Amino acid sequence: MFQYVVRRLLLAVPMLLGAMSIVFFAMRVLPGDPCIALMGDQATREALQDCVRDLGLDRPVVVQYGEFLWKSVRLDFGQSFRQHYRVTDYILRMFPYTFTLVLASMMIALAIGLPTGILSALKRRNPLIDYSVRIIALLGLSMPVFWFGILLLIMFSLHWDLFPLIGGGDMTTVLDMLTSGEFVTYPEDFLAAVVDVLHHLVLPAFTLGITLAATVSRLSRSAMLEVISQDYIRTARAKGLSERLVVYKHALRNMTIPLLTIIGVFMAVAMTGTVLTETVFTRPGLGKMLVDAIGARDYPLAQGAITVFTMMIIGVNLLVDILYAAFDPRIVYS
Amino acid sequence: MATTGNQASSALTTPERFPTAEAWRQGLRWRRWRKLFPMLCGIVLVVIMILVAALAPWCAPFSPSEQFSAHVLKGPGAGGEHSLGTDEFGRDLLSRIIWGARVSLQVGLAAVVVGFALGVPLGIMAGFLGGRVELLIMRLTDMLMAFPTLLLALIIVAALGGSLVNEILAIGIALTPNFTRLARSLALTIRENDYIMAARALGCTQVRIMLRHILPNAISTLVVIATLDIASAIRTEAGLSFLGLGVPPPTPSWGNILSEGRQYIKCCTWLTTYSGLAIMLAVLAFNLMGDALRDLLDPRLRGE
Amino acid sequence: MRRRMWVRLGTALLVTCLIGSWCLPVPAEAAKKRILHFASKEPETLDPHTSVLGQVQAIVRFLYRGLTRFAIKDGKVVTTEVEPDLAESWTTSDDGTVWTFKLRKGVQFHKGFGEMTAEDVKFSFERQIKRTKGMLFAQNLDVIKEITVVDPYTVQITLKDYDPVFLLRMVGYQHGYIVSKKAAEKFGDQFGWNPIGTGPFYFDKHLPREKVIFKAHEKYYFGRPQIDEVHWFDVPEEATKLIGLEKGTFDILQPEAVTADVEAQVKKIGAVLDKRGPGSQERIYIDMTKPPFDDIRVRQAFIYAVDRQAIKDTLYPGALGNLGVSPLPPGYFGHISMELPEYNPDKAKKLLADAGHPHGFTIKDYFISKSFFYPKMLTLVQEQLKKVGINVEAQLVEHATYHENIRKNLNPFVLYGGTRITDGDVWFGLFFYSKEIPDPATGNKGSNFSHYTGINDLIERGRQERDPEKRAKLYHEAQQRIVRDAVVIPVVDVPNLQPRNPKRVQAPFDPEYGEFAVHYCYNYPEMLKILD
Repeated sequence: MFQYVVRRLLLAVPMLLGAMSIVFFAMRVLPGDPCIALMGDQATREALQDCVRDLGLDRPVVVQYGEFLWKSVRLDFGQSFRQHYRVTDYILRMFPYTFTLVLASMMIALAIGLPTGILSALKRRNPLIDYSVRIIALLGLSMPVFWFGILLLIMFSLHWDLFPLIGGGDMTTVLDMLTSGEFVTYPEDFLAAVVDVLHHLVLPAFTLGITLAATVSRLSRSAMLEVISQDYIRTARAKGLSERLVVYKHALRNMTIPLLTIIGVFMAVAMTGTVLTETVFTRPGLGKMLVDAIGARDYPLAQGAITVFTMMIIGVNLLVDILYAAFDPRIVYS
Repeated sequence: MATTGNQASSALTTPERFPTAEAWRQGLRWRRWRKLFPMLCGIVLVVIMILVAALAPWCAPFSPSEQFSAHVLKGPGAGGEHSLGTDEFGRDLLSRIIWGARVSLQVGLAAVVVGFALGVPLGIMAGFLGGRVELLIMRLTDMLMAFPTLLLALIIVAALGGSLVNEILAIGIALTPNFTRLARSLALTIRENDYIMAARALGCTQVRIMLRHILPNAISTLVVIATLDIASAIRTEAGLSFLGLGVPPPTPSWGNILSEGRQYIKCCTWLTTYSGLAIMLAVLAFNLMGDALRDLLDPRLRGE
Repeated sequence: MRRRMWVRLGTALLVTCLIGSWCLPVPAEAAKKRILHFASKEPETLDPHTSVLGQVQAIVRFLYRGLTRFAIKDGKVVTTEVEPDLAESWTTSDDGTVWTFKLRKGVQFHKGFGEMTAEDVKFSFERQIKRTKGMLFAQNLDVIKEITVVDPYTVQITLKDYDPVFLLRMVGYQHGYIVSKKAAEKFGDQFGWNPIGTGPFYFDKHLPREKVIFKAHEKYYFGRPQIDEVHWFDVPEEATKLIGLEKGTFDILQPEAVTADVEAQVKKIGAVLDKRGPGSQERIYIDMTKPPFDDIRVRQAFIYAVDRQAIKDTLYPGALGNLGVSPLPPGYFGHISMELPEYNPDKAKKLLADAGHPHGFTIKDYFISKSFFYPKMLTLVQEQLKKVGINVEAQLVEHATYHENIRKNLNPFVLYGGTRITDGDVWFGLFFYSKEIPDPATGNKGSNFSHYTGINDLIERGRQERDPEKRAKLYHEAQQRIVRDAVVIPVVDVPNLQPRNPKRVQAPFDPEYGEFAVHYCYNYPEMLKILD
């Protein structure tokens, strides 16, 4: 088991390095000069030359690449070209917002998608239920995130004033109180800050969650179909067990592994979703920051953000692989 | 059909309820029809869309770029001619959506073809040949898979510039890892079959085995996935256009109609609504088709 | 099983949060502070000399002032005259090359950085003249030969030559802002996010990608502003800005691109549109050295083919914009209204045929920026040109790439927008002077996109002319020559627009062009009042 984990970890490292290298070279292949992006169209030639030298862009690419790898290992991604804050500071600030968004939308997606997918699989002989559930799921999948999001904003934030329009809530207070331990001594303030964060989280998580629920629904449907057609299910039925027992005791238990796969696939899709969701709801986050950095040719920020993204995806997949092994010992020996 | 204990007992004790042969055959036909119906719906929708897109010059009431400055941002029914309304330049929305179907469908289909053509051979080679070839191909694939699809496509299009061809390339490359992985796992399964061993014993070259034995057996599953990926490609194209990286103006695509309409989401909802609906319908149609195809081709479910 | 339990738990948690967020009261603002909520884009820096981004130039006006300011006459702010600001008075030598400024006494910098003296003025200009890293507006100060500190409250600036625009240059705008020498030296590169000026507000906090917070400067020399705090939000979606204005989340909006229906929307929610002149002129320069536009008939055909009125009516209907009337926009010294060619596609086709293009021609690989008004205007122009046979195949690029490319002379005609110091000398000097012709070979990044050389003499004579009337006449002639040579299409003059909630915020000047300024935002933000 330990060997398996170590093997997986070792495999993850070149994947991460590869992804980071792709980003590094991709950014430099993009047309457009960061210095012109920074200084605008009225900059003089000398000012631009100074800028290029300051940002270290006049050195040979290999040297820049080497420095990038060396520094990244120590989690030093440099400074943003534009605002000059350290990239690590940006990432630390944005990460909790994106993390909570992904987590909350995952919960909503699972809460809606799992039951509907399983139901649709079990009742597949009743096309009315099966197909209506599937079509609703597909509608959710293909609905443009921002359209749905702005609709929700107009309805729940503008007309009924139930939720805030922008922002991510009082996350800094929550984190500060957690790290300093003050949440024990000032529980009301802590609770107020937590509720504020959640208040800002509801609409975006719901929007993203609905679009993701469709994917979860489809994946769990096919996983359930897989499981149902296994021999041991037929045996259970032949033994005379009630359908209810068959489903709950045998089928669902064996869904755990496919469920893990779902979560693994989920991460990449969710990340993409955060980009648009964070823009629509004006929420601070990694997704919005990343697209913005790519557009502005802010190399260090874009590189740092994508590295964190891919680390998250690889990390989750790694966790999924390890949990696979924990649940199904056969995998370790393959 | 599997029957539970309860049903069987009631069938034995009440012979009147036992169906006649004719009724049973009718029931069978009805069940098969119920099964085929959604796939037919999907196929019909897809065919209609492709026809409309191909016959756009004749289907669309106006040119997609013609500007009617008298009817700017007017709702459905404006001027008695614009059934879905007009956009901020006075262009007819229905015509733009019909022409936009061309772009979206072209990108959807072509990107999947690219992904298929790149990913499947790599995957089959990896699965069948194994060893270092497999290691190399799978490591590359894993690296690409760590990227969210939209981001990968975004970077490629940003590097190459926004155009139809570049979009197809970008989305195609982003879809490749999926195909590679699937083709590899299929190849691994098929490889274990006896007829492969027989072919090898007969002296077939590896290339011949891959082409004539592995590929044909894998193709049905791959086609199903390809169909589903078309829907995904259409969605990604909409996303790219939405971010301003799609086809250049004035060519319409569902994504850029949606994007242009978002500024007017409070006053003129028809712009976003109809383009959004078009995307949803296309995705729905291809998914229905693909799902039904899969249900049909999967042998375990066929007899049920 | 376990999973169902998690699902149940998750749903329960969600429901609790929903209920909780309704029950628990939102923490009220302590002691009813007066906070102004601005919806705009996040600035990259607060160092006024180092960024040309619109939102930075808008925001730094809260923090800094200059030696002079635009005059307030009869309740209106005008660009034709300047008033004392940080400088109390000034005198000039007979030949006009030596300016002596007497500074206001007792002006305090933010956060206890001491009193403003002549040393700070000298430093603020010299850091730009010396081309310190990042300085972007140095060319506006090229006319300065030397700066001398006579005593702590007297500065003497010697110019290389007589400069008719000098007092305008000293207005608190871009290069003209005075920064604290002590702070700039102390913070060095970090001054951008540790800004110290003499303006009515000081920098308090920056929450990246969320908002910037300013607080009122108690010791502001014209009196502490009524507003306690300014929260400048980063809002990328235009739709969200409007929703926020209606809901009350935002008090004033700074739209990045104005949509045609903004006036209707603003009226519907009971808000007010503050219009500020002269605004930005959106125009099309025609490169007269790039075939086939080197033939004047083709240029004229191009001008006849573009329907400026239709463009204005589509993009800026009603009061949102004014049809362009001259290559030198109204509000600039030396402007006169010109008779510009009317839309006439038939005449255009005839001219094209005469010039040897009876079936028109195609322009390939045309670049256009994907930001602001650029893509919209090009869409309209493309369609109009198609009607006379000129086909433009365009590609969208990032805004920064666009600016790079147009200086590589890759486009035969260039869409451009923007504003400059409100004097004909500056405008002509940047856009119609031969020294500003962009040339990738020599690295010249000028903005004379027409490659025009026809008014060099007028510009140079204007620089020497002491009599304003005679100078204005020179600029009148310049405009006539430009129109005659068919090198530019002034499409529309778009005022600076800010939707404002009048029930929350009172602005000092009339929303209908009560303010003329080059700033993208309020010239005197300290005069904004929050109504309780």
